[in-house]
Amino acid sequence: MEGQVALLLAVSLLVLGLGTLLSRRNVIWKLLGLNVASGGAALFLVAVGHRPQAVPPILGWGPGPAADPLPQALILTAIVIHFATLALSLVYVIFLTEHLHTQDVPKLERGEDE
Amino acid sequence: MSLGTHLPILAIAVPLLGAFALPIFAKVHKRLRDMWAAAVGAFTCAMVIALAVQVLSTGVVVYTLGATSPAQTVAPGGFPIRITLTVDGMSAFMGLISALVGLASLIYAFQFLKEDQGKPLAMTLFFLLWAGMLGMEYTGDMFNFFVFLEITSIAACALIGYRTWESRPAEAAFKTMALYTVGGLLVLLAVAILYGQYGALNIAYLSSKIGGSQLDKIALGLLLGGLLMKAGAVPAHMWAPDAYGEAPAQAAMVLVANTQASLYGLWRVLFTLFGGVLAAPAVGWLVVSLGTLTLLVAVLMAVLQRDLGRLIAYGAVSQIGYMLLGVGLVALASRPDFGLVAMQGGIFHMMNDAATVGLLMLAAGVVRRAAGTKDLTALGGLGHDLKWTGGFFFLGALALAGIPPFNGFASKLLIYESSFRLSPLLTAVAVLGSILLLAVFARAFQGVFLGPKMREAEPAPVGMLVAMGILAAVILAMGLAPGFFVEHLVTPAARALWEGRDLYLAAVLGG
Repeated sequence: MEGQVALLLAVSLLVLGLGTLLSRRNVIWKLLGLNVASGGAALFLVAVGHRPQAVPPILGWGPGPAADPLPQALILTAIVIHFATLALSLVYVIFLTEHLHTQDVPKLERGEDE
Repeated sequence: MSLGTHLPILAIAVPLLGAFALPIFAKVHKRLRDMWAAAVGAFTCAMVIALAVQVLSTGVVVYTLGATSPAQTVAPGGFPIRITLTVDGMSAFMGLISALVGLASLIYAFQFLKEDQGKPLAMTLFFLLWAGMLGMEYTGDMFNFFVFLEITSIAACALIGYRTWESRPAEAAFKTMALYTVGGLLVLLAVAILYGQYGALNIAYLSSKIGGSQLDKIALGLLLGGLLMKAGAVPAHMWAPDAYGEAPAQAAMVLVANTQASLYGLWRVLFTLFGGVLAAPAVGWLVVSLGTLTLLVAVLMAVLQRDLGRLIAYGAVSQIGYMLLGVGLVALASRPDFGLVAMQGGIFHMMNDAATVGLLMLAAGVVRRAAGTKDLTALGGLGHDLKWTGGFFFLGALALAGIPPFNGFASKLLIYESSFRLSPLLTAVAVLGSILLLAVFARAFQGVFLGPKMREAEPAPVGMLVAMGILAAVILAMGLAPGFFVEHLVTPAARALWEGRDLYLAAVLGG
């Protein structure tokens, strides 16, 4: 049950994030959308490792099956990667703001023609 | 322990170490930094070539990380728990392309980058990008592939925005980063879906288990979407002209090799990962139509460009179309002979494209350095001072348009031949694309290099000429003796994808 809820939540986060990325004109909003979508993907991976009535995969945490630890290790990598891409994109937002004094995508693209 | 058994991991680890050690050496002395960069570059190329020789003579090389013996494979019926690097003919071939492009780019970078504009950092990013590309090509693990994909994305975007003192590179880098991240997310989701079903990440193991369920099809769709985005195929091509146009010349040519690494990922997914279940002609038609569309749109856009960098960029995108067309035909092939020809054409074209587009981009870099602009309306008469560069540009333009006896003709002929058997219309579009490309590049050559002398231009330094000379020599060699290259490099690579899936699986999973 929790597994399905988590999957549903992950997919909604993805749709929400990518929708924001496509519909917003402000670069900061676009990055926020992208970040929400990355969170959705991470949640999706964790939800995939879910097992019914499982305990966290730590030694000595009692009887019963443990959740799959591998997806949890994978999302740590994925989170670091997404942090790096976000940080790099934000640096470009800073540069763009300094050069063109706007964060609006249509205006940024017009700035390209000057 | 001998060096020979550790070739696959060394080819990835050495540039990675080289990348992060380089800024430290740069602090000590400029000479030390350059020597370090040259040593890392030479060592990496040697590793890649030695590995290719090993693969071509003995077959698939498997390297298991963290095992008691790196050559250890999974016992028959067993379950892979470690990350493996799996290098077959196709991986080795792609490694050679990356090594060639990387070497030329590095030689060019020594003289192209300016000291006061962050030269050591650009070299660091280049080595990161190189390591990421080689990693994508050698890995045998889906999540590992995703990680290397993201390493190339980050390094590539940092290089696109290298000229931070202008606004256009930052805009191009931002756009590219957003698209790459979405592409990477799609790949990550596909990996999650596959892991959820089969509990493994190893490509060979997954391939042996995939049964073509509904979820598998979703995963295939996500992988196709993500990798095509990174490869710059229409309709996700908007980032490519900006990125190629704004990145420094030697970085732009590595970006082209990077799109090819994404295409390699696509071939690996289509023919190895889903090789057992891929009977649906829909996928083949999708790839063929996207390829045709890409080449048509890119060529038509190239006609309209007034900026030399963007013109070459659209030329580069159009070549991606030819590769998609060639290999897409394979997925539609009902007869073995024509499938293999199409595969050879598509794969041979990857190497040709890396060399020719790289040469054109480097020549454009020299033009920009000499004249301070890439605007075609403001350029002219540069051939008086840049004789060699003009010659190299001319050679590259002819090869790109597929004029005999150059290499582009050899690979395009294979694509024409195989597409003709499917539909003459496809061949007509492909030939039309080539003719338009020739017209576009002839105009560009005439506009930039011919005509009365307009200004004094500083000739290209020796290092840049050497870098272009290497690529020109490869182009000439492949054009004059295509048979040799097809037989010894392209055919093993094509066979590895076309019928080598069983060998690939057996090499990892044991007899």
